[in-house]
Amino acid sequence: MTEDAILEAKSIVKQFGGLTAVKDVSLTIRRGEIRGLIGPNGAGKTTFFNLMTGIYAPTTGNMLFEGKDILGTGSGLLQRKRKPYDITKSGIGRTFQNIRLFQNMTSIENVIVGTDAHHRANVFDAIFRSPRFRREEKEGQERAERILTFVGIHKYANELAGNLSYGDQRRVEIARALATRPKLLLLDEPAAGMNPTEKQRLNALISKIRDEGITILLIEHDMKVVMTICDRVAVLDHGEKIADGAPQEVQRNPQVIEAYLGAGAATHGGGANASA
Amino acid sequence: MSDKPPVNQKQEPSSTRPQNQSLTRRYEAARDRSKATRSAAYARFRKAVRKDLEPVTSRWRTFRGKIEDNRKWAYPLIGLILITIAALLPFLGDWFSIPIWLQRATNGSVLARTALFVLFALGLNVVVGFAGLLDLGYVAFWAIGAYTAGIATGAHAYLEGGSVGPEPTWHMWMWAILLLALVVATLAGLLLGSPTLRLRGDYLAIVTLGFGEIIRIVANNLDHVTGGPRGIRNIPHPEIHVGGLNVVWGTLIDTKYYWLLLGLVVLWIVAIRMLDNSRIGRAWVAIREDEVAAASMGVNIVRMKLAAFAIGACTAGVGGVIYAEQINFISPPTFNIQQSILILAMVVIGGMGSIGGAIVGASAVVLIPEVFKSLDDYRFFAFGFAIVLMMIFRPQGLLPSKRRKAELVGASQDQQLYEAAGGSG
Repeated sequence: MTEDAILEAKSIVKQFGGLTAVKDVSLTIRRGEIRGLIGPNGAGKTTFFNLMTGIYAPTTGNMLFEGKDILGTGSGLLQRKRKPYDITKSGIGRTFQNIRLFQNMTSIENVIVGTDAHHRANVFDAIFRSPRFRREEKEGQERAERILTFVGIHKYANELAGNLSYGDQRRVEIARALATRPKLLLLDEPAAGMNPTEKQRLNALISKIRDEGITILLIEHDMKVVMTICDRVAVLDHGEKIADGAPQEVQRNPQVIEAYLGAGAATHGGGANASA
Repeated sequence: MSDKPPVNQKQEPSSTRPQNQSLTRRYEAARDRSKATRSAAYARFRKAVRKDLEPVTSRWRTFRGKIEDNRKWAYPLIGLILITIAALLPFLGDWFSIPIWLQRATNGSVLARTALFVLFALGLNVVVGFAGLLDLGYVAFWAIGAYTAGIATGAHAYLEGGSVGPEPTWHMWMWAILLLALVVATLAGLLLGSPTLRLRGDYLAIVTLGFGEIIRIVANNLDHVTGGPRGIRNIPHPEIHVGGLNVVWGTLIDTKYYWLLLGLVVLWIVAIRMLDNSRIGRAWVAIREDEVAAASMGVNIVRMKLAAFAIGACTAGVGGVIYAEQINFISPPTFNIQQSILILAMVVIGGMGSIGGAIVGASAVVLIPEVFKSLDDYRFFAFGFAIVLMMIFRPQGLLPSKRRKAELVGASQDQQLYEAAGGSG
């Protein structure tokens, strides 16, 4: 890849005991694109996300974000594993497959927690209400409201996150991730459990986020969503990358069809219509 | 107990329950059965009481609404009124003829003891209630504060010489020592916390439990520094001499200790409220709700837990100094594990995560045995029993925070019912 890559994963391997969840996967994400990551259940997609965000450490391999190694700093004795909050601060935001909002906080409080990622007020600033503290609180509040408006749920700002509908909770999660000022946004199955109308609105939202200059990596089961909005798609199966390219190419790839529909499907089925 | 729906019990053979019932229907059925099992008489009683009190509660609700609308000035005003009432409590017996048990409860030294424990409960509440860390060795920081005062005033030195010697004349240093103890206790908290807060809940409880014992045993054995089992005697009382202002705190029963502690309590309440309404307070809630999500949103988990731990520690340190200066004698047996549990009981009984709860809980735990002196020997038994009862009937505490209540009651009951109805999520 010669283009401007925002993230380069090189030969990532992750083993859990005897199980190899991710086998030698390399992935490049270009700045400004919507990148898809698909694969059957248990293919290692979410594991890959967790590796990218520092929740797991890879067994081998490394990951460059804007040219810098994000998984560890230093070498030898000084080596230090990057913590999830470090990675968030350096510009990777994420949502979760099974929504992990702070249920007993309101939507706007959830988003403000995200804005706090870049705030620096400490205990003393908070107790004495220093100018820095007041400036940051104001900034956080305003930006959280702007983001809620952006994702279209400002009317639920003061509702407890746990009381919102499924689709709206997804939106709050996206808003919370956007609040951390990501350059790369990882969305883990955002369309899961949504009805067709909601999916359409989600597609529009994802495109809108990309237009703001944020690169997106999308894990998704819903082929329609992937095929409509992704610029390039990588396919994982049993922890290995089996295909990578434009959505139409990938859709026609016999290996991909086999992974989704089982062996033989590629020869029997005329049109590759792998809608999972 | 009574809230648990009697699902899968003998009186309900599985054949009577259609298998294809929708999840919602089954959930509702389980909820209705649970309601039916509650004592009908109790329900009638509650309903009657609620009906009789309706005019009062509705007026209270409108009043609450008005306060919320004008919180900018109403909150400080209410605070000021409460502080004034609290400050005037010692005079209650002088101004009115009150029953003997109330006289006991408003005695200067009893009130000072209450205020001291309110301070401790406020500090532990930050650790346990806000950050959700179980600290079973809180007494260690109280001991560290008290011994800092004992050692820094030089009181231990003239004990060592065998003679009483000249009493230290530098009483004004007491205030510097207060700051010193605050720093020392904070450092102790950071030192203990930085390796242990990376551990998961149960391990933290064990480590803090051990730390509490270690501090007490060190104080008992480090004879030449802490006076060993003999403790430290003659710790000077605090004094203020600024310009024309001369305030001298006297012996144990001086009511001025109460006002001093009350002042500290007020300062601490303000500081903790400020923290709670800041990115730090939000981070604590986020950590309590979902640690993985919080970390992924840029919350530095270890640092935020450490902050809570250090704030708790410094509170106990400051309280320890005032304690030492008031009692004027400290020895290791005071700082035993029962004190840690007692302070924890105050936080739990009052309502975790609530400032008002810490105050109510501490006051209840200190004052009730004073009021019912005869119960004194059974205090710990009674508290154990009270905590078990609270866990069953009011897990959120006497005066819970809204959020904590939702976490404890909402989640557990709904989840239980949902699972009982056959949903696995």
